[in-house]
Amino acid sequence: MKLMIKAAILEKGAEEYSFSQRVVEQLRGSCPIKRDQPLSVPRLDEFDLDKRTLRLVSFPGELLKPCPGTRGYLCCGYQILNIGTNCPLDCSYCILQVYFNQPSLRVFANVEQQLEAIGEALAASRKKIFRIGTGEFTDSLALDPIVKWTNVLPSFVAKHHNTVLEFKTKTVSVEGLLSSPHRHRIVVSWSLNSPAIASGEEHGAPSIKRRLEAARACQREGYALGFHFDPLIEHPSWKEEYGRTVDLMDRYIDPAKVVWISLGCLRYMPSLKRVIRRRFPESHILDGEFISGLDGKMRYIKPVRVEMVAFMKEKLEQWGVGRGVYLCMESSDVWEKGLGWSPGTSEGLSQYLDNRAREAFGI
Amino acid sequence: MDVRTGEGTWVELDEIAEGPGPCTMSYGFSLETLCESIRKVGVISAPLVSRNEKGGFDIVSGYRRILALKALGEPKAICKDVTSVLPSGLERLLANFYENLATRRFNEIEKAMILDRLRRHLKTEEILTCFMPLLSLPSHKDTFEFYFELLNAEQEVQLAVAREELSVRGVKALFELDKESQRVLFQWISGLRLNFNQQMNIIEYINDISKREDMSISQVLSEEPFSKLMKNARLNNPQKAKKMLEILRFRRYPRLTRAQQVIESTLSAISLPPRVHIRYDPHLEEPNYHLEVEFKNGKELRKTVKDLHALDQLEAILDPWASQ
Repeated sequence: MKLMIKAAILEKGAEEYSFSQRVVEQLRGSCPIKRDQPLSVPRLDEFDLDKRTLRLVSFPGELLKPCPGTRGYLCCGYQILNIGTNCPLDCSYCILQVYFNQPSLRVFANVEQQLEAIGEALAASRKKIFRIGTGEFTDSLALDPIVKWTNVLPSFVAKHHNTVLEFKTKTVSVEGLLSSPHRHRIVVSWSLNSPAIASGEEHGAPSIKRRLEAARACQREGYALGFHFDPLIEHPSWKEEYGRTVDLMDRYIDPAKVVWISLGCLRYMPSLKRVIRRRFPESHILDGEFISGLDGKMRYIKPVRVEMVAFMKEKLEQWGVGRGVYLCMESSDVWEKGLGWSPGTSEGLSQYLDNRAREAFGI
Repeated sequence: MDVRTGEGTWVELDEIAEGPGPCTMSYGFSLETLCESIRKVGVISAPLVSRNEKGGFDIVSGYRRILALKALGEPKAICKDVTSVLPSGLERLLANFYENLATRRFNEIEKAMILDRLRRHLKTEEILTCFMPLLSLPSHKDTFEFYFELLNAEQEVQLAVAREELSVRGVKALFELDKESQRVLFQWISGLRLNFNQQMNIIEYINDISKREDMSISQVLSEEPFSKLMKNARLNNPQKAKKMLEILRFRRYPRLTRAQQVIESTLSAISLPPRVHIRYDPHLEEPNYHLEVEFKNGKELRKTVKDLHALDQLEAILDPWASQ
């Protein structure tokens, strides 16, 4: 994937960090680099996300926070390490289109300075397992050729024995990982979909085959892998289509070394519908029967979710993954009907995944 | 600027240019009440005018008053000539804007007129950040653009918006569609006098259906169930509106609607004791039903519980999605 950064902006407050200097150095000669004040007003054009401008920003808030979860559904107890917001890929279904009101690819330049405090928090709860991810508000690796988080974060994780860090991506930008000496307690995860959805809806993202080739390279280098089928989207011949993806996984990946695979059917904030209609008029992802869920987000009616989840579970089991398949933001009865069991509560799900991390990494 | 220093002078109404001019911002009003007021007590506050290049006057403020005076056959009126105290077009526009802002509520077409007039003098960013909040509008470029689009809409659409017969959300949703779909849907909305919620529902259902089935909105609406419905003389407009929404909803959400129908029919077949209700989540997302019992005292509650316990029909109630 070629990054098409047309301009970089170094915001006031971010210049002092060595991270910023390194990124500026990396970008020098490839695009104009300006200095500017932090944005004081929200994005004025709700359809223009300005995905080709990279802003180096000093983020004033806490960078490590628990996933907020969602009302009425089971959450896995994940911790989000907020390294930046927005993403150079342009998936039609992406919630980030309406989640943030500031444009551009925002990269937080002060992460390294906050790692010490984060480390203290991790050390203060030694018995707790922290499953941390950077791929919630951006793609974990899409900007890695420029920002090189893979130089910084794995070495931090190496010092904290109760911590597992997940890089979640749709890209093939794994060079940084492949050259990193710190691989223990790192999960490299790929967001997967059917080949039809990947080519039609995940604009700018590599094909499923290329993602799996990158995953294979990481697995061969000893990295633990994860996969996320989220969002599962109802589309013509979806069973055959998702089956093709699992067949490709079979060709490239050893299922025994997969830590977890999440499944989640398409859901969206109601305000996203208009944005999808406007930005992706040819998209058919909104065709299904959506209802307003218990959390106010739109999601497929229950029997559709159950059918999709049950189908994926069967396929993945046939492939060889027995444990570690879980549902993201789902209700207990969809767990029961789709996977045949339920952790019952968010705490139960959190424990289940903590145990997977223990088994995988001997924590 | 201080408009109080403008001179009061008799102006021949023939000398005042026709139309609202570059400063005024009134649309979709009725002159009746104003005429009656002028007939009874005269013009209390003098309109503001300014000299134009042709030697006549443009109205700076008081468009409706001038129209009312003309309608009453008055040949002239006392006006304040603000040509020298408000030398620029922007100052004249702002004088009118702030006078109106302080005294009345603008309808949506008037807001569009204001933004359009401001655009001739000010940069977009200034209008977005300073003026849109004054008009109770979000400072979004998209909203800004929407209001200009509103000024280009058909006259009948503008009037419906100004009269609050068509909601802003409704017209925004219409503008997302092609011109032909806008025209056809507007005819249905105005013909059936749909309320705001119904407007949004019909636009959303039909747009979803047309996208999913790769048909134009006109094609969908020209199908037999809809043409028959429109011709049905036994139904009044609210009944037709309800029926139309039912047809569209069933087509858009076939499985959900069918499951709801099964639940409704199961529940309605149960002879519940008086003041007992069974409720369910209409989206069938919440797995549990809710039982609601009203009672005056424990004795009455005991009887109700006993009656409920004796009801064999209760076992007909299944998981909300069991029928699927």
